[in-house]
This record gives sequence, structure tokens and C-alpha cells, in this order.
Amino acid sequence: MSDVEAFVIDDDFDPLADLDLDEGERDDAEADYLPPIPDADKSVVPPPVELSPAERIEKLLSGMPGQQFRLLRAVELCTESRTLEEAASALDEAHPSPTSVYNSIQVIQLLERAGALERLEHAEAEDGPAQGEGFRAKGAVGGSADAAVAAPVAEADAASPEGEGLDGSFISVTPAPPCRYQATQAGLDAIAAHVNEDRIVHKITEEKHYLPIFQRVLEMTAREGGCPTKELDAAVDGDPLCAEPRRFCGFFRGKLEETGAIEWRDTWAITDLGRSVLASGLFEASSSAEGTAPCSSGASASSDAASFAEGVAALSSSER
Amino acid sequence: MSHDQEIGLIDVLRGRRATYQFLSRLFRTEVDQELYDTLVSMRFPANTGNALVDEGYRMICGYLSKASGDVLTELAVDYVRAFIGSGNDGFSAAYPYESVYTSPKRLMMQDARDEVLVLYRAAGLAKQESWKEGEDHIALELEFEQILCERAIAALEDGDEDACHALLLSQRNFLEDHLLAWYPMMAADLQKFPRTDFYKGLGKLTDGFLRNDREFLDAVLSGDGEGSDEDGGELSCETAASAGGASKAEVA
Repeated sequence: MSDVEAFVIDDDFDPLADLDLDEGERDDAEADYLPPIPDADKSVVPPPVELSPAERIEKLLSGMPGQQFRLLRAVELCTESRTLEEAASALDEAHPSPTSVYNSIQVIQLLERAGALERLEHAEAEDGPAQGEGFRAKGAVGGSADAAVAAPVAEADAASPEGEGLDGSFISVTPAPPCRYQATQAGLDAIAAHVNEDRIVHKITEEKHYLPIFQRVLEMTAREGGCPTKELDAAVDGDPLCAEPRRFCGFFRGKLEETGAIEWRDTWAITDLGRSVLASGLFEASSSAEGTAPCSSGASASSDAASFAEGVAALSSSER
Repeated sequence: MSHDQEIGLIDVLRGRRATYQFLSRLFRTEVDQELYDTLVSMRFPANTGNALVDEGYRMICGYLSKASGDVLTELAVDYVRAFIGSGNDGFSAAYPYESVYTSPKRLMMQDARDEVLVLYRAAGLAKQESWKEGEDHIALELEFEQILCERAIAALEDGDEDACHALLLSQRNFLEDHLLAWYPMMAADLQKFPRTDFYKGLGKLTDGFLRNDREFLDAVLSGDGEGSDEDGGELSCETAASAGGASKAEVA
């Protein structure tokens, strides 16, 4: 006798039969499902959080810390209005960034979305007022969103050799009118807030006993052709000032890069901003101050930073 | 059906096939350079008599006319925003699957997918290895209609009206049982999630075209059903011509 003969397989066995459940209560009860979906009202897009242009720009800059000076440079280049291609090529030239995943056109579009740049739609009016007026007039007939479409339709109707009427007309894509990009006030404010010597001075005088290190890094990067990372590391890592607490060159380089004093151009190179800080007399003032009153480290040094920075800023502004 | 009427019907069927192909491609993947070049060289009908189709074409054409810079990236980002989304609650995008819109818990690979799979297999179709999504994806359902259209055209060219009728009937049934049973809900979602007018316009265009196509198929099939009634046949062809207006987009 085989096992199969010993057991009876009951295909009709229903484990829920003894529970006396109604059809509606059973999970396996057959029910045709028909739209609309009961929870369709949950399919909503949350309202966008309204941010001011200044907030959006700050968010963009803080989201791309390695690119912030490139972004700000793009805004600066658009102080006078430029076409997208002009602005992109100027940015490529002024701030080449071949390793960035954002090309210059994308950078400009990001800035436009953040409110640092504005798009001047009817820039062609500057070149040809009559043409521009005509475009707007046709656009107004077709509605604001359809301006670009309405114009070619109207033109096609007038010019079509087959005499296509409105009923039989087609619309086609016409190239976007040459628009220009110009920096907004919020964009210019962002440049003023981020690209200034005071920011660098404040940063590097937070712990002013490290000023000689910062000076050394700035001087090395100010050389013709910049300075490679290894050379900077060798010049800084072994300095007695970096022994306790242990600091490495990256700490100083990071602060300088973050404030726009140096930048990476295949080697580390000083920026114009960094160069003016170096020439401002900050480090000479520091060394003379050290000669009369040796600085203390830690919290007291940090607390002195603000007043020290103010003094240096006053010095640099008087020099300018 | 007279010879002239057949030619008219074939033209309309070709237009429908092209439109199904066009829509299927737009839903399948992001716009690439080749498709973009095609789009900007196309002529879109301005007045088809269907408000949704007209508005859809105008939105697409309007977006392409105003777009500048890195259009492909912008469209690719919006494709993700429209069809993939960033949430996991089932309500974060216009998910392009029939199962999502026809199952209570908005899940993929549900009964609807099994049903369309049976229909595809019955038609002798199998998905390509490269296709990794569910078979109830809107792009596949539209492509299925396109294939049925192609077969109907071939049957008509061979003079096999019965086969053509059967294929048109299959198209209408598939349209009613599947595409039109859920796509309008997706079309509503497509007005919420994308940011560009391109995908919003695509949502409207597809919605209008599918409704238009059902009217066309109803008209053609009811005309054929009247057999020898000449008035019925004529009516079907006229209606076909007007209903097929939505399929007139052409490459310049």
C-alpha cells in the first residue's frame, strides 16, 4: 500500500468553513473591482513650498558647495544680459569645470529656476522693435501660453499656397525666440554676500594662531601655475602648529576653498579674491600683533576673531 | 465597401497606426535626440474637432517652441517626475500601468497584467527580452493597438474584409476593456505631476485620441454590421474620416 492510498486528499477542504463567515467577510471572496479607485483622492501633489528668490539661491548654493563660486560667477557674467549660448561660453571660459556633471547651460537654467537670473523673453525687441511688437500681438490672440504656437499658425494660414483655412491648418514647432538672461537683484545680493574679502578674513581669523599656515598656503598657490596638493601637504602637515591638535593641510585648504580664496584648476590656484586678501596686510598685521601679544589658542582665540577681523577689514579697506 | 471607401478607410487606419506608434513611443522612454528632431519637424493638426486632442497638440507644440537649452535633460527629468515619482505610497506619480489603476491597493502586476498578457499571447505576441516592465504598461497597450491596426491594414489591402472586421472588433474591445477603462484616470494624474506642458499635453492628447478612436471604431463597425446598406457604409467612412482627424500629425 502506498502513502497516497493511505491518505485521502480532500480538495474541497475549506479551513474557514467552521467559522460561519459571510461572503463579505472573507478575504478570498470574489469581488469584481471597478474603478474609480476609492483612494484616488490621495493622488495629490503637495503644494510647493513657497521660497523667496534669496532662499532658493541659498538652497542651491548650499546644495552644491563645490560649485558655488562657479554659480556665482555665472550670475556675475550676466550682469549685462546675454543669450544662453553667450553666457554658457563665457562661463566655460571664465570658470572651466570639465569634471562637473552640470554643464554651463544647466548651471544657467538652475540659476534661472532659483531666481538668480531672469529670462528676458522678448529680447529681440532690442534688435527689431517692429518684429517684436508683431510677435506679441499675435501671441495675445492665441493666449499667453500659446503665443509661440499661435504665431506660426497665423503665418501659415496667410502664407499657405494650398490656402489651408483654420479648420485644416497645422501647427508646427518654431525655434524659441532668442531670449537673454540677466542677473536679478537677488542674484547680485548673493554675489555680494558670498564673494567678499571679509568672509575670507573672518574665516581664517577664527583661529588666528593658524594665520601663518594660511599665509603659506596662499603664497604657494599664488605661484605661477599653482601648487599641487602633495606639495601643499608636505609644506603644512609637518608644521609644529599642526601638531596639537593634529591638523592636516586639508583643513586649511578647505577653509580657503570654501570662502573662494583658492580654487582647483588642475592644481590649487589662488583667486583674485585670495590674492587681494594676501596683499591686504592681514598677515603682516598678524605677525606684528604676535610680536607684541602672543595669541592664545582655542576659545579665546576664536572670541578675538571678530574684533581682529574688523581691524583687518578696516586696514584692507583703507588700503583699497 | 467600395474601392474609394476602402482607400479612405486605409488612410484613416494608417493615421491611427501612426498615432498609436507615436504615443506609444512617447510613453515608453524619455525623449532622445532622434525623437526630438522628429518632433520639431512635425506638423500637428490645429483643429481636429476634439478639444482634448487639439489642446494636447498645442501644449506639446507650445512647449517645444519655447524650450531652449538642455531640452532633453529637462524632458527626462519630467518623465521621471510624471511616471516614476519619488514616493512609495502609490500616489506619487501617474504610474503608467493598468494594474495600478484597477487594483484596490494600487499594485503592479495584478489581474489586469494577466488579462492583457493572455490577449497578447492570443495574438501571437511575446514581449522582447529587453522589456523589463509589466505587460500592462500604457506603451505596450498602445503598441498592441498599433499592431492590430497594421494587421487590419494588411487584411484590407488583401481584400479580406472579414479579417479586417474581426481585427477592428478586437481593437474596439481592447480599447473598451482596457485602455479606456483606466487611462482617463492616469490622464487626470498626468495633469498633476509633470511640470512641463509636454507631458501634460501628452496626457490630454492620448485621452482625446482614445475617446476619438472608440467613436471611430464604433462608427466603422456599426457601418459594416449593416452589411449591404450603402448609406450605412458611407456614413461609416465619413465618420471615420472625421474621427481619424486626430491621427493627422505628420512629419514635415
